[in-house]
Amino acid sequence: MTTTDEMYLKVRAVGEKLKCQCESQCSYTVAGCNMLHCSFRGKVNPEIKAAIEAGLQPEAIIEKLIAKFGSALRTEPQAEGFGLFGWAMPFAALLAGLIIAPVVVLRWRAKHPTAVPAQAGGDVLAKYRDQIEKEVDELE
Amino acid sequence: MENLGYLALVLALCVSGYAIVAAVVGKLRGNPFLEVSSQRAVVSAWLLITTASGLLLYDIFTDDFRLSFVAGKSNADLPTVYKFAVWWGGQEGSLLFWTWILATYSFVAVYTGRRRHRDMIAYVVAIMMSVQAFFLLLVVFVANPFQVLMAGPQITSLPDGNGLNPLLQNPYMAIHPPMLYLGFVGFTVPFAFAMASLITRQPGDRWIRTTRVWTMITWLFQGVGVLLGAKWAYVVLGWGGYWGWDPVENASLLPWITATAFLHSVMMQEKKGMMKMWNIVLISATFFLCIFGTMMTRSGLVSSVHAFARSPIGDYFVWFLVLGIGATIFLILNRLDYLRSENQLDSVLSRESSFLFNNVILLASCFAVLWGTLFPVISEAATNEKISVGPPFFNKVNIPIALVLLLLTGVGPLFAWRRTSLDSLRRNFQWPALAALVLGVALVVAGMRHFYAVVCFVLCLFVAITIVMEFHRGGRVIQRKQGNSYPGALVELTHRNTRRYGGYLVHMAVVLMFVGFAGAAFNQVGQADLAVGDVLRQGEYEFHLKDITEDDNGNYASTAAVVELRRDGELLDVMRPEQRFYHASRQTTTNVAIRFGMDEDVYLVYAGTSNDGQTPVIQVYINPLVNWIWLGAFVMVLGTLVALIPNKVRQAPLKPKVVNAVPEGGEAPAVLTKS
Repeated sequence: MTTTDEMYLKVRAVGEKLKCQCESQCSYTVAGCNMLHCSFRGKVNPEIKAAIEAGLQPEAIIEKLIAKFGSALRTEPQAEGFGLFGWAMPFAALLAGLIIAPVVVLRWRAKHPTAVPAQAGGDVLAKYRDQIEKEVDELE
Repeated sequence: MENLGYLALVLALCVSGYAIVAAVVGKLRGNPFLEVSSQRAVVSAWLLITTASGLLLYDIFTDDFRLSFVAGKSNADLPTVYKFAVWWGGQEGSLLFWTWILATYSFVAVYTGRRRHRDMIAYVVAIMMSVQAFFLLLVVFVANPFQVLMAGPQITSLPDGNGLNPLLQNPYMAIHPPMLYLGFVGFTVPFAFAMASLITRQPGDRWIRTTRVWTMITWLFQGVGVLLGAKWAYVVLGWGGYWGWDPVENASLLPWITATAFLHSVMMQEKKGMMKMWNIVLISATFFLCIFGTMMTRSGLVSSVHAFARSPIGDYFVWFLVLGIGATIFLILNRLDYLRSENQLDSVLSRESSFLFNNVILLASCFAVLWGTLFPVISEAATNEKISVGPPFFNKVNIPIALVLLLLTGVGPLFAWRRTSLDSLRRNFQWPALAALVLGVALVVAGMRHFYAVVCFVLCLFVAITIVMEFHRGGRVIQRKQGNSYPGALVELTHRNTRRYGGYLVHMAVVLMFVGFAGAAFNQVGQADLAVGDVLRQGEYEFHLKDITEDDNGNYASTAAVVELRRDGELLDVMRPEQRFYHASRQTTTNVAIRFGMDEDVYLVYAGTSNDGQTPVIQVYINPLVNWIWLGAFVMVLGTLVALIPNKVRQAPLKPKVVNAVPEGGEAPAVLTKS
């Protein structure tokens, strides 16, 4: 009975943090690329294995390989310089939306406040409104 | 034959150009003959493009390898079903396919809407024919599918073709592109109606009511196309996953997201006369994202395993996008007065607000995907260094946004239009929230430590219960009033407001898909070199390699590993992952073997041979809950179809109507009646 080699899992874990550079222009990670003749995986995996055997930590292995093969190996921008801009923009856009949306809602509300009949008392109105909402909820 | 095909395309281009001129001039000069003539030109163009498409198919099926396109994408031994897929398997053919679908849509849209929309159909014709003319320009002058490699009497025999890309020789790939194209191209129809409505200053929301069915069907095609692409990636690419955040995958997702936002926000315009400009912006964004996605796949702008070969075609798309977006922005700004909202908001706690937030989150998600996809290009332009972006970036950015969206899926529909009381919110949310909380605690106690997975399961239960409660409450009311059986009452309830309850079914589909997505947090992977007779243990499964078999069917030679799957000694399945060598293209691919289950898939890859070339390498993936995604896809189709069924009782909006004569010197009493 065989089980999966521990080293395979360690190499794979590092490979998941590196972008494959194979000829087919796949956008997968080194671990995820399953092109049968992926030359890049064949080149990089033995280096990862050797580095693990030499006692290097995954982060150090990744930096070593990036120094060798270029920054295209990164799967995500670094949180510095222009890379930080890359990280920030989606969240900035979301934040802007979440700020603008309530402003829009308040503007909608402020333009034409609902007319309330002067003779109806607040309590009476609230009672009927609750009743209407309850019945509409049931009907819907 | 190729000359006839090319001539048909050239004529179609001329006819499309004529249709544009005739429609606009006819409208501006009030000449109905020219307008009708432009509509007939739409049919003529369709006939010509259909003729060209038929001729190309004839060339493909008769193995006419004199044609560059046929020789490059087909071969004699290619199975018949995949010969059909050759049509969209390469740049030139797929552009013609795009054009043919657009011509068909134009034909149907113009001929079903020409009487109801007499006042704006001329501009619909002009806009749709402009898009069609652009694609015809491409197939006539840039990517001609009838390009001849060799001709002349001295040619007595032809070499076999290069064959269709092996990865495309799969049933899912035979149907995935047509579905996606039906979606991509289909958004031209609501866009054309929206623009025509703006040009002619149509009052109200007629264009939305007219194009609602178009938009929903197109949205469905697009959604099914995206999911079929994911399924194809899962069963063909052999990496154990279904979504790799590849630029081309992202390109198919972007317009679907904006279309989803549009489908929600149009309800605001229909019911309250609000968000008119926003809806125009959304449908325009959806249309231009479809064109942008088409460009990304074909121009080499971004690297992708799914893209067509690099070509100069991207420049033409850039010009089309610049001109189209410029004209659209000008038109919107020019018609701002007409796009002002009619109604205003009564309360912050209302369905209107929830739709607005739903739109914000959807668009944030769309922007995040677009930003990540283009960031390598942007960074290279800005810093001369291409900063690559892979799945980890997309997952980190999009998972939190998607979870908020999932929460809104459950919360949004429970808000009432105009105003929701806190008491009503408490009534609607207390049981779902309590059940979700209990599940969350139970999962953590049971040892689940993956934060996003726990949150996702909790939200899925919350949303599922809110949906079930909506059906249950409505069903009980009808059951009490009409004495139906409970299932009969649910059917009656759905039939009374198909759009609403169909929408709930689509929301339930979203829940099912998110359950499937969350399962990915618990994927297992294993690999071993196995000689015949060896056994690999992974999790609770044992994989016994029993044999290696070889076969050849002319199209490809295959080597299969025969693997017995056992659990506790019991034989569950015999799986046969393969490696295939395609003769024509001289490419080797893997063909995975999958044992599907609602709890988990067992996914086997014959990943080649060990370094010494002697021992087969078997890769194993245990993927929990993946099938919930495909189940969700079926429910999404069901829900959309339900929403397309007309209501049993037509819901007419309440309109003021004078029912009594005006008393002398008094005010006219107006009452709300259905009219």
